[in-house]
Amino acid sequence: MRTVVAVVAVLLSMTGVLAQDEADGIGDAPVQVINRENQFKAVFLFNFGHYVTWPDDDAATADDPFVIAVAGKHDVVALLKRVAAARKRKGGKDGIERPVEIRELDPAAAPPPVHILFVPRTVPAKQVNALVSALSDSATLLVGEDEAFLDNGGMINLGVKANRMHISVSLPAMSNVSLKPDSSLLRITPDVRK
Amino acid sequence: MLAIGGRLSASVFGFAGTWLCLAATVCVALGQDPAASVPAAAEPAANAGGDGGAGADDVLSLVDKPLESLVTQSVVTTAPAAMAMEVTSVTRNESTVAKSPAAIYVLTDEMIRRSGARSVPELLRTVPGVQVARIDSNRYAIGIRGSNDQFADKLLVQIDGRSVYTPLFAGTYWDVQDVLLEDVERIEIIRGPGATVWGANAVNGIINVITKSSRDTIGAFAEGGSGTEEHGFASARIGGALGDGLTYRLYGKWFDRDDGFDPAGYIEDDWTQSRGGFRIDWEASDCDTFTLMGDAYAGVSDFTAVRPAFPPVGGLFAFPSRLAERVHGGNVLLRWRHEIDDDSDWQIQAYYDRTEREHTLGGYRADNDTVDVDFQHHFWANDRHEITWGAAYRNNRDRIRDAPFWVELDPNRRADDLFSYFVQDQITLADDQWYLTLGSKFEHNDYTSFEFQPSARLLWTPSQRETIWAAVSRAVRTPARINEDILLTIPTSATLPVFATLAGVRDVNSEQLLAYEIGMRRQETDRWFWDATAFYFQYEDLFAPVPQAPVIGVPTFAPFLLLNAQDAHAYGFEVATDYAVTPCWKLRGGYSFLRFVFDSTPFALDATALAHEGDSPRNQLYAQSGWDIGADWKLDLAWRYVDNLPALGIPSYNALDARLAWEPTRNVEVAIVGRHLLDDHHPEFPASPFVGGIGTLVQHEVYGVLTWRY
Repeated sequence: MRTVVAVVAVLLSMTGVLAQDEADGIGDAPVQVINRENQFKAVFLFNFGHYVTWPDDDAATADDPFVIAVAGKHDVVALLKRVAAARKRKGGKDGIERPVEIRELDPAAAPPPVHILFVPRTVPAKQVNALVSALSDSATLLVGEDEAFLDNGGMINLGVKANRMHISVSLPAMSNVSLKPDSSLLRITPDVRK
Repeated sequence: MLAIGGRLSASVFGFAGTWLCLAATVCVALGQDPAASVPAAAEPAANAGGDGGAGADDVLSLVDKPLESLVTQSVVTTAPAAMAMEVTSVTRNESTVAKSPAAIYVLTDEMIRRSGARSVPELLRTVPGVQVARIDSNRYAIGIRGSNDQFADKLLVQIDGRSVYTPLFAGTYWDVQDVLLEDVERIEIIRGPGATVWGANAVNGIINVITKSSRDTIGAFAEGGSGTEEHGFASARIGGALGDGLTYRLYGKWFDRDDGFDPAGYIEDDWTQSRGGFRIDWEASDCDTFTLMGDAYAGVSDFTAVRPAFPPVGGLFAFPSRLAERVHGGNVLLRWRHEIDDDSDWQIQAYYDRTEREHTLGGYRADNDTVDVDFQHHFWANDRHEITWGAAYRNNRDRIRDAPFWVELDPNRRADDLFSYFVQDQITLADDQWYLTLGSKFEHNDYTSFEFQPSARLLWTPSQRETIWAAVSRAVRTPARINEDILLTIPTSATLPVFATLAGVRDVNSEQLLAYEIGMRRQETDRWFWDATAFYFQYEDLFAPVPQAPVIGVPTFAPFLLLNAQDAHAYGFEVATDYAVTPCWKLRGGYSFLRFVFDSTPFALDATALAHEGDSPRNQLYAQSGWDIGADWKLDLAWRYVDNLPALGIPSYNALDARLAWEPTRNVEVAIVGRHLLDDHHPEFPASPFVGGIGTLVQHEVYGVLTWRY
């Protein structure tokens, strides 16, 4: 028994030493690396409803769904659905006060008009151009995740720089279809094309 | 593939399975890369980040944040691995260690691979609060927080959702609970009751062995080795894809282990077994997953027991006999899991399990068939109430062949039904901070008619790195077949015709436990994690052999009846810690303290015996070191101290295991393992007096193993 007490004492004193030694241990440790890029993208896509004004917003009723679509397969779809389901449970705290519908579209097909269309970087440039021209008369917010997206006619790009979300906005592309970004969105946008 | 019903030819199957897998493995090696033919299954998700586990929770916590905060947070972040570890045994739903209001410990696949253990019982030796003691080479006494015995009956052991409970005595025959350790994803061990969701038997703890999906075992694996106690072992597995979302694996394994040490030198208790099995997983759609799996085994678990003899043989009324116990069995399980939406799902599972045990001498044989169907549904009633409910039906059917004047059961055949249902509500009291889990299991059984097993568990997570929890729960151990139907005749002397008998009685009660637990775990730094738990258990109506008036004559009998005759309480605490000194050197340690006290007992125990109640060590201590020496070498050391068992005459012991592994290429590993290195041999637990078994001592051993993965 004495041996046990002694060993426990040694262990405890060791843990004291470790606590001091490890006041702020970083890196090199048994940690789980979590890439939250898609989580952030889902949150931005969902929240653009608060920070962008659509031309038909005033006419919308509580029954008209607010549609967020993704062109092709992307992990963000499941995350968006999860947020939409949680928001529905909380009674439409999304500010739009309309049900939010998440759709997965075929990027090769002609897109129906939706409120937000997310174009993954896996969609080829040719298809991106086709999507942009097909929606040139529709108040659809085109959001991408590729540096060249705004050059191809996109409106908002969700990039990552220095491990932070980096937002780019093309004002001309948005105003062409009468979409108005809120000033609070532009405040956090380091790259605004006028 | 499974020869179920009647005598199984699993011996042939196991050997054939091993060789089949080895042959297939060689073919794969000579042919194409198996992963090449399974693009979808083998590839990681195209988009990093995923939507599972902690990530999915993260999105809900991020969505309410102000815009400014979304562009100032790190995209790629880290979380303490120990807290984020996935577990399912506490609530029957996917959760993490951080969010578990129970004393949970997880043996990961890496810990299993580096342990050098070659069986599930040996793996459990380093889990805090778990008592593992070897009786002979193939029998173990394994308990959690006390009540330990060869026939320990307060533990629920599951392999992939299949209970491996033996209805005969409500315990586990450890010699036939085996899996291909390479394919184990993790083993979750809960100390304390889990009866609210798992039902009777999850009294003192739960051991849940979870194997990998066949999606994660694509490719080939083969290993073989031999040593001083391991006469030989070999195992192989082949896995691949059969189509879109459809994957499989096949495995076979065989081993032959030496006898334990017997100072007298005549006891034989060697252990040999062959086993084979398969698993098929099919992701039929985004919402539906099917799993079909099965195993079959055959082997011989040798042991020696003192058998009674009347009339006397050679003038002796008792003599030791070698009773090679032949074991066979097989099982098949089908599970269908359906995700209704991101927040709700249901699952239905059915299995059939057959076990056979037969003594080569004395005539005893026990066959058991179990059919079990289990349904569970999980959903959010609103944003605060996460509900899980389920219902299950189980039928056990056994057939016993008596060993006259030794082990007899009346009736010889019995079928029992068990119908149960449970409901559990995980209530979010304060987002990301306070959670309350309330629930109860209700059971209708053929022994005590009705049982309920409620629990309340409160969880507080002040931060992502800290968890504090408390629980109050009730659990019961319903009577097993032996509690009502057994008649054992036990010799008390080799030369005198005096026998003790132990008989079961009808209309007994369940053994009951009221458990109070409290725990805390903390990731102090990214490198240092600790977990501490304390408990107080109050038992009522524990079974005990109660002496009756002796029957004097030739022979003379001293009868005992198995009655609900004891009350007891137990208390103790467990601490466990992980510390990563460097990325290449990790330490792990733990200590557990246990006191078990009888409050009332039918025996006139003297003060000494009372001071040492229980069959479990009061103090257990362990320390492990895992060191990666360069890219190719790994050295693992594990030391443990196990306190003495004065009531059983077992002294304390220290043991050291060591494993040195070398990986000359990515596919090949050569390892040498030494176990119990600090002494030549030591006893760990005596055999149960009820069956007259004779235990052997655990010897030090060394073995080598060659592993190939492709």
